[in-house]
Amino acid sequence: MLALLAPRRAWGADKAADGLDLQALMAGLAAVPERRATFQETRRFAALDQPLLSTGRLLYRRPAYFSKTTDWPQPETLVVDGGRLVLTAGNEAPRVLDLGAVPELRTLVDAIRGPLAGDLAALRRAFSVTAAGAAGGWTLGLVPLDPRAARLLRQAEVSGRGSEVLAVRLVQANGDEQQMAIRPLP
Amino acid sequence: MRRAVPVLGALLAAGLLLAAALSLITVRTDMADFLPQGGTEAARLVMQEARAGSATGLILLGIEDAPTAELARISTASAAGLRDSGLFSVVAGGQAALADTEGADLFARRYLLAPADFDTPALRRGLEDLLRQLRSSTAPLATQFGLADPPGAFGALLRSWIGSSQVRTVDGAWFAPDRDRALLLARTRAGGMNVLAQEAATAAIEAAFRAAGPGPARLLIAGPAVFARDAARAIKADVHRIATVSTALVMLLLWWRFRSPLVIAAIAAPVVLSVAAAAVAVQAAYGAVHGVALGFGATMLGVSLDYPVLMIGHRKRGEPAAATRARIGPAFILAVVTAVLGLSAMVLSGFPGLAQLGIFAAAGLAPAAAAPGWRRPG
Repeated sequence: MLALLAPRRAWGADKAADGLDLQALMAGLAAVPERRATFQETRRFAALDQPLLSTGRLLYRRPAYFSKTTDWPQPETLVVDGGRLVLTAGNEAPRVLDLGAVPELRTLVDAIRGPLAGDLAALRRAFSVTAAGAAGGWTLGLVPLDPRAARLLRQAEVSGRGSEVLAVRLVQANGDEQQMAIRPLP
Repeated sequence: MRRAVPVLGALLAAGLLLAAALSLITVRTDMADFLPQGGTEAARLVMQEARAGSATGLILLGIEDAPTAELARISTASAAGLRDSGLFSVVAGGQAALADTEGADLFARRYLLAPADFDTPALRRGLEDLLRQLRSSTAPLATQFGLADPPGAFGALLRSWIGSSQVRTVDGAWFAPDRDRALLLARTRAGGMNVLAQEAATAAIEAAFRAAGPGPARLLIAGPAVFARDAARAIKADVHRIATVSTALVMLLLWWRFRSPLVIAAIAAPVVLSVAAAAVAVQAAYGAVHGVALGFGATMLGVSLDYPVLMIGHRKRGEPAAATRARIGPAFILAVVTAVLGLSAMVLSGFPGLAQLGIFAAAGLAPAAAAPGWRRPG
């Protein structure tokens, strides 16, 4: 009984057990209008006996622009602007997707874009949000509320320090996972 | 007055017979009866699809003339209303164009729908492509579908179906790409050529739209089923108008010529009787009577007016009815036989609806000629 009540109370107060102020953390994230970073990504698949690595650049601009440019080993650009997703692989023609038409994809995008935007209320509409750590080293746990979305994303973890986001980990329904180490650029 | 009794009695009896016949028969309004049956296997398949294929029950709905968010709301609410009506097997207007179970069915039959190569070089190409997908942002899709489908047949199938379609989605509702019009797609459970069922479907659509609180928004409906229904409505209206106008004109003409309600009654009785007999004959032959055959058939049976008119017209003053009958009988019978033969040629038509019309007219003429026309007032 207590176990059921505990997280509810913690969210109500927007404080994790060890005193992380979730409201303040989100406000700090929301205060950054633009972020540039490089990333190194590691993907682990149950179907493959070794991880796949890639590197590239990230750009976020408030409120809803996000781009991920993979430089190595296979060039690809993923741009999300509002409700539109454009994916360009190598020299192929860009593929345009409407996020409104594919809610599970929107959930996946919002797991990354939501913490950067710092809008806690919006985040809670799509995910059950947990927080751990302190301002000096925090982790947000996001679990999609919509069971359809859970097919693309079982769980997301976004971690960082202060108002910097330093890592994103996405776990698929089948346990495959994707870990991104992020190094912010000035 | 003494003479009025048998004439009015005959008209009354004929009227009762017609009422009985009309309550007995099943009236069909399926417009496919007026499409040809097809001479070859392929033509028959196409006709079968045109009559009852999955596309015939498709109805396209557009909602426009309101703010975008409002249109999306009306569209979603209308779709919910349509689903609740139970008249539609598919109501689509939002995200899930393909239900999960349908997606799984298609995936299970992917190599029947899109043949794939399984030789070594082709599989190698497929697997290399799969690896590329696993490195890309579409990796979740690749693990969901690609691992079980190295040749990529399912993806190719979906891409070929999507084609160049450019539907936008706003708040979970489909919109036309170039204007503010919410789009819904519905498929009726009944066939598209079943006009009565389509009328019910249209009523359900309009009710669902009104229940959604449309405000200033406007509903547009199109689709094969809607065209069939409109065509049936137009035919019904034409038949009704032709029947009314021609009945009135014939009555006027007869009144002008004979100036006797009794003569008109005597002339009407065989016509009414012939319609009753014809309807029963077609019902017996086809198990139903098409509304169009009934309408036009009744109009064609107007020629049976001629028979009593001929009798009355050829009768000399003071001549007994039997004498007139004997005098013009052979020529009269010849005329009736040629008319029946001429009309029954329609039975050979490739259109079931026209064949019905032929039986209707031929079966109606015989009793009209045989019976009460001869019992005219003296």
